[in-house]
Amino acid sequence: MTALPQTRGRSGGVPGALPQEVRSNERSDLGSDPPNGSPRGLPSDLPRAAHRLTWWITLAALLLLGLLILHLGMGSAPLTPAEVTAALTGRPIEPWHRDVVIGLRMPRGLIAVTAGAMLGVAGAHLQAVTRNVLADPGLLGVSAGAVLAVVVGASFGLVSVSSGWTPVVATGGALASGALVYWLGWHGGAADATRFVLNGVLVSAIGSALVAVVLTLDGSTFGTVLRWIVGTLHARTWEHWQVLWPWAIVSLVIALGAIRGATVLWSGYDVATAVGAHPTRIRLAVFGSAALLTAGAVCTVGAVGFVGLVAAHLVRPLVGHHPARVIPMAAFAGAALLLGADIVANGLTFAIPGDQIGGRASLPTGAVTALVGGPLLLALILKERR
Amino acid sequence: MSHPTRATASLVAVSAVALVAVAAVGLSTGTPQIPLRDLPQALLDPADERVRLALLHLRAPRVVLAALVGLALGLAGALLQDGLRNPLAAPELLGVSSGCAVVVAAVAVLGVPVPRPLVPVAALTGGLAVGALCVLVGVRLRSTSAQILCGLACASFLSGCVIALVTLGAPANAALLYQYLLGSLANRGWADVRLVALWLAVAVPAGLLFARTLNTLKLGDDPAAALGVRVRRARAGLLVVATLLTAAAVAACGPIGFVALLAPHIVRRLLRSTDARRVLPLAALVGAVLLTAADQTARVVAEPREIAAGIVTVLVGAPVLLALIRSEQARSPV
Repeated sequence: MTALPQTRGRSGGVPGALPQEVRSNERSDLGSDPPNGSPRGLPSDLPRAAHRLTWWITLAALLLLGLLILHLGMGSAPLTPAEVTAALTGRPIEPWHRDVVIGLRMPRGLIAVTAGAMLGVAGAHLQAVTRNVLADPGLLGVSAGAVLAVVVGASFGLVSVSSGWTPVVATGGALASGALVYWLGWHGGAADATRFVLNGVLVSAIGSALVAVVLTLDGSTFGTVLRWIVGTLHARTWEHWQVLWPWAIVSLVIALGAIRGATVLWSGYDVATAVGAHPTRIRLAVFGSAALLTAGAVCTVGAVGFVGLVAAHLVRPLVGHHPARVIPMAAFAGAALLLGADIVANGLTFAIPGDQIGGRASLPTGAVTALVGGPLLLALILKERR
Repeated sequence: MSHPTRATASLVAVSAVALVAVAAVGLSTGTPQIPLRDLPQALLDPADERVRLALLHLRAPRVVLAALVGLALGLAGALLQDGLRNPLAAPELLGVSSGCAVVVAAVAVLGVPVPRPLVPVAALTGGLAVGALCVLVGVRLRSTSAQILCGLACASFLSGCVIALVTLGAPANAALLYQYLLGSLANRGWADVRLVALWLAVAVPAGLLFARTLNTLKLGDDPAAALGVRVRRARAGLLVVATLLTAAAVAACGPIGFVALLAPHIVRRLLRSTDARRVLPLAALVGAVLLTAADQTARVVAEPREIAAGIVTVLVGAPVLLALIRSEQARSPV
């Protein structure tokens, strides 16, 4: 809904009516072409950065690398960025630096980056396809379904967190709860943005209540599962990474392929039908790819909320609203967000004095993202409704 | 509206019978099992010390507490729904419960020296602050769903706060606090009952006094003002009383959801009347029945383990809320 003015704004003036000299002036201002093939030299109200997408992606990647190095330095034995870089490049200053950085902390950082990117892309996809700026895998109940499926699977001994089948089970749950929310929201006409999300939140509530039932009945793994439900990166090892990376590659490739479909739907139902697309079919495909992404991320880091929501809104002021630009940038923004949230969680954890390493508290990353995401959601609802 | 008086009388009778029945079942089940037949005798003159302990010190306070808390929640829900003219209003959906919960968790985890009877006061300030924020923000929003979503956004922020508090402050107690955050009535004693009763003695009469004002407010803000109601002041008062009721409930057994939402709806459907003078007391009564029944279900359904009462209320309440949203959507398509 708020996505539309962008398209309208770009073609705000009638192209033919524009004097030639004004157009050439505009062109020299713009520098390079808009990336999505809009006619050359038309006045544009896209953010300037939208014209330099490659440049922004490089910048985001560098920022991400910086955050990762910062992240790898944190822990009970703090390392400086220089020490981390040395250990990463194979010339550790102390021999144990290598073990700590590569052996212990690297998987956590990599998982944060990958899962964050997956959640960011899932959020941007869902926002484009539902044309709802409030969409997010957590808010639409997709994460809750994945969590429920994994917890039920684990309590019946079907899956363990490090088994390759976990993401499959999680995808089943994600698809089921996503479909339920979709059915509830779309029944009988167009969905109102807030009602749609409200349905999602309620389905999530039911899902987490069922998780609580399962946990109460099978109390053996209570502590670990509890943190994982909130979403945590604590104690992630290379074993978890082994589960995540194949899934991440497959689902991200599928999601990048689905960008075209998402764009068509983002242009509106009428436009999509007019260009000969099957809106329902595309919608299901994009929903499916979002469910794949969410399920993979949830398996490894738990139901971290709001990453998808915040990531998409973070990049829109930079690159405009077009899904072809928002979705790739949302991957970087999501990765940076989850990594940043984990840095904050880690920092707070180590700021609290603890006596021993084993029993020390660890702040779940999901709590940090909720602290950021809740107020943002509030602001968005107000903006949407005013 | 055919026979409001008769409907009221029969609803009162049915709820009272249901309450007594649930209480009796609650008192008799467990170990040691006491047959329903022997229950009066066991209550009045327990032969066995074990039976006496189980009945009077474990089961009875729990049943009484569930009834009191349910009563408070039902009344709070009715007050908020009529006062804000939002059929989906309930303390947990307006952030009031989470506001109270954050304060209670902070008091418990950080060891803030607040004397026990005053914990609801502290909870009240938290609940009031968040509730007032949500209501102030929500008044600007037309759609009831958007208002509720505001409350839920606040609630998710606050739950982040609570999780941070719990994991950093008391990692060993994580499971215990998880139970608390779900809303549970397990292991409560007469001290909790006294605490809640004390607060309800003030808040329930205050809430019932609002009945006439609520009926006038239902006409709309301008007609109500023309009829001499100070709309803003009345709303503020309503919010304070509803928050007070919620704060007492949350302080005793955590944020139990959906009782406050459901009770008034059940009453209005059954009475076919929206007269607040009937709805308020009956919603309180039905709330008591609902929570007592939910608590006993939670206790019995998975013996010997026990699931939190809050889970049962969510599992029953959330689908009903979904249905309510659907029916509201059908009435006023966007």
